[in-house]
Amino acid sequence: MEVKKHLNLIAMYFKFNLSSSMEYRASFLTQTFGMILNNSTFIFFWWILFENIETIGGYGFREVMMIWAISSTSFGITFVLFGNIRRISQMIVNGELDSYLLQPKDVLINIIASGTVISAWGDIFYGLILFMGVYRFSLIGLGMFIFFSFTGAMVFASLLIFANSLTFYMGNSQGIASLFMEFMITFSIYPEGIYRGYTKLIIYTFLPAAFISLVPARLINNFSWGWFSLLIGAVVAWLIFTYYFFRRGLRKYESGNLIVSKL
Amino acid sequence: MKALNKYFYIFKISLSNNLVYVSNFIARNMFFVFIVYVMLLLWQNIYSHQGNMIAGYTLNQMIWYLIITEMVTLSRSNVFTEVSEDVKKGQIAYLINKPYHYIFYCFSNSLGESGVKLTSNMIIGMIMGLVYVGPLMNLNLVHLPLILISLLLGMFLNFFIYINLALTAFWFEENTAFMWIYSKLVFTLGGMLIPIEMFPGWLEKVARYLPFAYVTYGPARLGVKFSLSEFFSIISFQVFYLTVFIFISIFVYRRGVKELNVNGG
Repeated sequence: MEVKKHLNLIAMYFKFNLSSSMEYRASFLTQTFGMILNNSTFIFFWWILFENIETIGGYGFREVMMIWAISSTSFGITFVLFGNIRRISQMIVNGELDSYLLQPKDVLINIIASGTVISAWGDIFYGLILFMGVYRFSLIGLGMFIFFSFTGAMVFASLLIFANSLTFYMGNSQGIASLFMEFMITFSIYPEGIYRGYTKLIIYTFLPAAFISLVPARLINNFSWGWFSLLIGAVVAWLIFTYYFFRRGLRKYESGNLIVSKL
Repeated sequence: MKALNKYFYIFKISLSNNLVYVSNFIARNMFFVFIVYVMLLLWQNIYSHQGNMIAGYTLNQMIWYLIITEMVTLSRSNVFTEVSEDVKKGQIAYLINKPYHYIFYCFSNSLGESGVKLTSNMIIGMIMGLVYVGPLMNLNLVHLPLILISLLLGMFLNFFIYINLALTAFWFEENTAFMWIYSKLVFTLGGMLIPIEMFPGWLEKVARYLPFAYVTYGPARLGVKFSLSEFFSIISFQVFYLTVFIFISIFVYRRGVKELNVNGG
């Protein structure tokens, strides 16, 4: 019941954000296509590499494009649905949470879902187009891709909420949050085989980038219930952990007496 | 000489402004360390399967190459955003009537910012290179000043291309797309992540004639595989393109100012 209420709130915000994004249609299209073009340059990088080398860390061109597709769509979903995630730290510092605290909705979901990033639509479309391009079309494949893009978005969102919520405990953590974002994106777009030792441990635990794209890519190519359960376990664990981490931190929040109008 | 004094003061002010924000400074350096680390992992894996030499580069040279290209791109100033905002918000009206040339004001201002970034990037880059792959193979210290000249020319060229793109704000309300496209051209045809020797033959030939390669590839190539003949060839391209873009920026600025229309104040 509680979950349904949260999903309803997210859906309502999505509707409003979408219609406000569409108000400036030219800007929406420019930003979306700009982002698609921007991401496409990485195809060039990998194309040149695979012109010279056959496989990298056990991945061929197709596999690399697959993890790129999942990462890109996951990233896009995160920022289309929860655009305010990147502003949490700044909002805490400025004392902008007051208006959210007064509303009869879950504070965290209310905050993150009340903003969107238009260019993130470009990331969603880019991932989808890329996936269709490299994976022979099948409904099951596409279904899995969409499902894993959502699990990836949940992992990504959880980590960003965690990094931004550090502000409650240690002061402005915007710098750390943007570094975490870079780490997560970068770790999720290179072949798994290049990571060894501690780095591999880190991407499965503290910076769970492996669960955004690497594990899903493995599952799409060769499904196993063991890995699937591990993925779902990791997603749920991170969601619960960050939710409570934020709630605990919120107790430390002090209003900044800032009068803001939330439109 | 006295005429240049004002630009030197602008540079000094910008230098001290950029030394103040320590957390920004640390975050930027962490990013540099991280991105080169991931590249190291990638290339280590590739070299372990492909042998000692790829496109004429050893692993040691490849990592130092990437450190130098990242050094140039990460040391760029924020000139694009600043100039675009100056033009769009009308702030430029207060800057064009001062006793300096706006373009060279921006250049001196950028030098302070880039100077701080380049110094820290060079120190961190060298430490990273030494820790990750050891000292650069066959480096002759006598060549260092020449490599540095090429590196600075690459950065200046980058600056003048950016300012040209920023000045388009006189005519276009939304000009960020130009910056995106240019930065991706440096990323790809500029050999920022892959030396252009790895490109297919025809593309390598094209890339060698375009300005993007002289922002990042040129200095990095000289850094890891120095030869006097290549030095003269790369420097000639850099000086040529730099002169071209300086003249274009002065021309574009003049045309833009004529069309400037600022409302209110």
